[in-house]
Amino acid sequence: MPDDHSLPILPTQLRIARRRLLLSSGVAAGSSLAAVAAFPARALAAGVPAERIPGWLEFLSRTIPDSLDDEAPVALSPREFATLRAVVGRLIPTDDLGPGADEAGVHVFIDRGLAGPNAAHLPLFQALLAALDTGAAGNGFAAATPERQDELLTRLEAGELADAPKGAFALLLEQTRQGMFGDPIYGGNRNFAGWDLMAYPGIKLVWTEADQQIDADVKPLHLSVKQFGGTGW
Amino acid sequence: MTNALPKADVVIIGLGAAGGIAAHVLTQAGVNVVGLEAGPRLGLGDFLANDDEISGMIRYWTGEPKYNHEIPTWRPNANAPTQPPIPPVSMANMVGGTSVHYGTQSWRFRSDDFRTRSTTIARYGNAVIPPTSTLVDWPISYDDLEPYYDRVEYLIGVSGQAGNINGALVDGGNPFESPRSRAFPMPPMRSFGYGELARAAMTSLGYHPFPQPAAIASVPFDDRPACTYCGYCSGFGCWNNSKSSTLVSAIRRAEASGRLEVRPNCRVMRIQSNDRGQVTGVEYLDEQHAPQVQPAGVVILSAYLYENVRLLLLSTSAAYADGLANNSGQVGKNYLSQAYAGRTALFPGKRLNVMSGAGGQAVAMDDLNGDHFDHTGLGFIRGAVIFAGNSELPIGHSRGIAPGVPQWGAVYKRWVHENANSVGSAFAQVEPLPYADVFLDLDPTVKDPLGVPVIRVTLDAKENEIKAARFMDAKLAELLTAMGAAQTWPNFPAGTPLPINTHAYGGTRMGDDPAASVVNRYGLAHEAPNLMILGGSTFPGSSGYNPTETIQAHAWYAAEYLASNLNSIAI
Ligand SMILES: Cc1cc2nc3c(=O)[nH]c(=O)nc-3n(C[C@H](O)[C@H](O)[C@H](O)COP(=O)(O)OP(=O)(O)OC[C@H]3O[C@@H](n4cnc5c(N)ncnc54)[C@H](O)[C@@H]3O)c2cc1C
Ligand code: SF4
Repeated sequence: MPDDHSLPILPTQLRIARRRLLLSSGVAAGSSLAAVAAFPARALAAGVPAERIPGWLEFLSRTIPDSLDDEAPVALSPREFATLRAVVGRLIPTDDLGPGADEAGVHVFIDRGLAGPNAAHLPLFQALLAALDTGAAGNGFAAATPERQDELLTRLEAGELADAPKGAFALLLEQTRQGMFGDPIYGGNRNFAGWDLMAYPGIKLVWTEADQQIDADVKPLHLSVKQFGGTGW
Repeated sequence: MTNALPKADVVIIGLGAAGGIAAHVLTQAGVNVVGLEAGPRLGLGDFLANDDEISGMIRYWTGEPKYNHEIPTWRPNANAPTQPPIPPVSMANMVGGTSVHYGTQSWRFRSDDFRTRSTTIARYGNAVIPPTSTLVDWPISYDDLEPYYDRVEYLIGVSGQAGNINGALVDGGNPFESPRSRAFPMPPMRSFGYGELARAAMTSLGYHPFPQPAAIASVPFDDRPACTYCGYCSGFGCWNNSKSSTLVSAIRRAEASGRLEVRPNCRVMRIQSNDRGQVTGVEYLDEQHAPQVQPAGVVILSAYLYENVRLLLLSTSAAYADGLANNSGQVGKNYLSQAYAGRTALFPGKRLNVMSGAGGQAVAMDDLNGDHFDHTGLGFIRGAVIFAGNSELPIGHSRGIAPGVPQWGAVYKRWVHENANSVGSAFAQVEPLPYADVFLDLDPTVKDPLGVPVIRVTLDAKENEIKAARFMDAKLAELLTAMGAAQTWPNFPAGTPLPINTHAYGGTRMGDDPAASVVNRYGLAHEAPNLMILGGSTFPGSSGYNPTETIQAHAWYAAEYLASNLNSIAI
């Protein structure tokens, strides 16, 4: 799916600089305070215009709550966020196989993307969520029964839901998969729910010859780029 | 006006797969080189922290400094309107270029790949060549490049199984390979379960499987550790320095010589030329975005195909009204984009463990490549290399659902749970032909964030490539079924046009005739003899293989010629 590729050039080089900084000062993402303090001087030295620095400092200092209930949306309204959570929970539902996309935080993944690299899709997602709420009537999509929710999503998939923007379902589905099965650093795939579902062990730097045989049973490692100092893109 | 910097012997624009090799060859010969690279200098820890499936395969973080913001536009033909934006390809901007995160499939072309026109006509006659195709033989042969393939393999480090050493066939290698002067410097990549299924099936179908050559240290090489088969390989930088990028091989050595000055985050905007048509230097934006002028005796343009063509077309001057080295009107012509067929397959109840491994770790066959099979009556010429490998990742698997399975809901979830680790694939990389009506120019309206026009691609899928892709797709289905698949399905409709590509060719064609090509066999522009152009943009045609080792062998051949003739070429 196309991300928004209209970012100017400098912030990128700065983002790379930020990651180098986190690494070179030997701190992981969780304890980046020292790095944050050192950041302005380094950024200026790298030729970054001073007016860009406050925004990046804010981004660097952002913390991620552990509980999904403490998670506040950054692009969507609280109501839209609640609808989205219910939507992804039907696309990949919680069942005896394990957590669904709602419990895995996929709505958090999508919302963060809409405040960042996927900002161009925000209006489309807002229109899509409004169409689902309107279609559900009463207290909206989140309050509807699972059967009713599935019916609305089926109509959306078939292109038959009133007021839903064209192409919205494909985008929603792709974003849901990215959130469920992508690295947890982006807010989805909490507790490695998506990777456990498909028996993907997580980042595994060393695969032995035995691991690569048919029917080898490779144990989960539950490692994300976060453990290597990453902060996600 | 900015002050000019001290003149450099040679300035290289873009230190990627091609520029990195040229830097090494020139500095070894004692030439002082300035390398201007639009991207940053990154290293091991950067890849470990930043490379995940979303950053690497979806958001393309390594293209953020530049490539992502100058995606070419596309129209199917010269009368059609420009189509909606197409997704970018994941080329990288950094010291080492895309070689830092390429898939490492490291092939030599075969001798007939350099003589496609004459070998085709000799066997089938003129009529089989599509009337609008500009298919030609190359001005150089396999024998010209063989010593340079050898040097590249031993410098960067390529692992593989030889199939033909000086004419003697070697067991287990590719029996179709053109003679090599010696074995690879390292044994092939490790065998793996899914690859063994492929090997057995290919053999049972009468084909000749072999381990695909890979630009990876299969064993410790040149102070670099052996690959650990981590699975984040094609599209990712190597966490372990095992991948044989130019960053860790050619550029490292060139810098150690003391004769290469790398200037990262420096983006060239224009190449200057004088009224005699010689190039005199380049204009660039430095790390602080300040304009600079770097005068040079020779300019090497190796910024990947689209930027090679774009910089030429943008660099107009008194001598070149229509773009540098383009008084012939040939810049942008004879563009080609590789075609593919790919199939996914379900092996119920088997744990395949293909979400692992290295990009170059695959079992390949050449029986349906080039002219290794009789094309009579097939309606197309040339062929494809076929391979089955791994390096699949979870988001990719979440999309690769068998036809008929719901795309969401509890049934989808159960299908993914039960089958994600039982899905494998095979690919055919189809050789495209050049056509007169497939070309590049500057888009008249779309610009990058700096206000510079982007490239516009005019390209449609042609009958020859569509038929070849369909033929190969059927062979992939046969192969996967022989491997034990219960069900197989195409990844995309065979023959889908790919306007922009990581395997793109032409635009600054190499040839002997200045009226029909842009550069000579050494990559030197016919019109501007102290301008060298390197990369796939110089290829007169293509092959069924991945291009990079041939790009690098040609870069070595060209740079060696330049080093030996610097006094007569440089101004
Ligand atoms: C995901 C992926 C997998 C691939 N796998 C394979 C494979 O398995 N086998 C294979 O053979 N090939 C593969 N390729 C293709 C391979 O990467 C290219 O063939 C090769 O890198 C091309 O070399 P190049 O030097 O022309 O370009 P690059 O290696 O891209 O280098 C060009 C350099 O120029 C710089 N540059 C661009 N514009 C400017 C400017 N204006 N000023 C200064 N610098 C500039 C760029 O930042 C870059 O560093 C793959 C590509 C991708 C994206
Ligand atoms: S698979 Fe091997 S070469 Fe590729 S990135 Fe991992 S360790 Fe490096």
